[in-house]
Amino acid sequence: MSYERLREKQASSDRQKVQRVLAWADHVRTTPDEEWSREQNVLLNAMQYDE
Amino acid sequence: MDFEDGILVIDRELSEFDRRAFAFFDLLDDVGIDYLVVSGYLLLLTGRQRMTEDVDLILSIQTTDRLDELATRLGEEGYVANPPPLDRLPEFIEEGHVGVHAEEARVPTFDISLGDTQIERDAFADSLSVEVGGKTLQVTPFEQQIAYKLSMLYDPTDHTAMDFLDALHLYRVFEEHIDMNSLRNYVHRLNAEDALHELRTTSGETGEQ
Repeated sequence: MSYERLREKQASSDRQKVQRVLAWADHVRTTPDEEWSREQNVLLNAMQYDE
Repeated sequence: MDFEDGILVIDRELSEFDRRAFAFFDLLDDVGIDYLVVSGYLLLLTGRQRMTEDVDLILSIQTTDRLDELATRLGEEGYVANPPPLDRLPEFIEEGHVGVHAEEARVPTFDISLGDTQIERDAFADSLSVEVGGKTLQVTPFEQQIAYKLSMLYDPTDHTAMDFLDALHLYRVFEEHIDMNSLRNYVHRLNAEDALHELRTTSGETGEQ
């Protein structure tokens, strides 16, 4: 795979990261708190708390 | 999320992370320590979807006389300092910052520092009240938080840096409530004008000078 192709893929990945943040922010802004927080908590509750 | 009489009300479902954070805040309240929630946990409260193990707090310089009492209470409640020992907590905080966590769990770690710079004192003066889970927390104003995040960027055009994405989240979620004069003021003081331009462009605004 060429270096240019790798750069293209990285640039595409970077754009998607930004778009995901914007889309999620719009979701938070327009959705009841209970709903987005329940989705967010799937991530938070997966963390390892006790040692 | 709604602003009611200048208070941001968040009706979120609480996570285990929230419950542990709130237990710590209750302890600070009991001791009479004034603090601001900043950075990662502020982002979580307001919906940012990312992992963090820390709850960053800045303490008011008005309440430093209670740090010995805080260390004692933390010890009684099973918290430890990282680095130890806990009884040197006032000294660690005066020097810079200290991490504190429950003895049986490193998550969350409460990263505590003193709000002794002028911009942090201003953040206390401009602080925002957030009502969540039956508690009222004081958080750093969003304008200051966005400016701070932007000022941390090594490269203002790096849109994938965590600090840029954090700032983008806050800006996008609260864009109707952001005081642009206040934001520009904080950004100017933190020398982050280029990054603000990138932020506004990325958020879809045009014509930013």
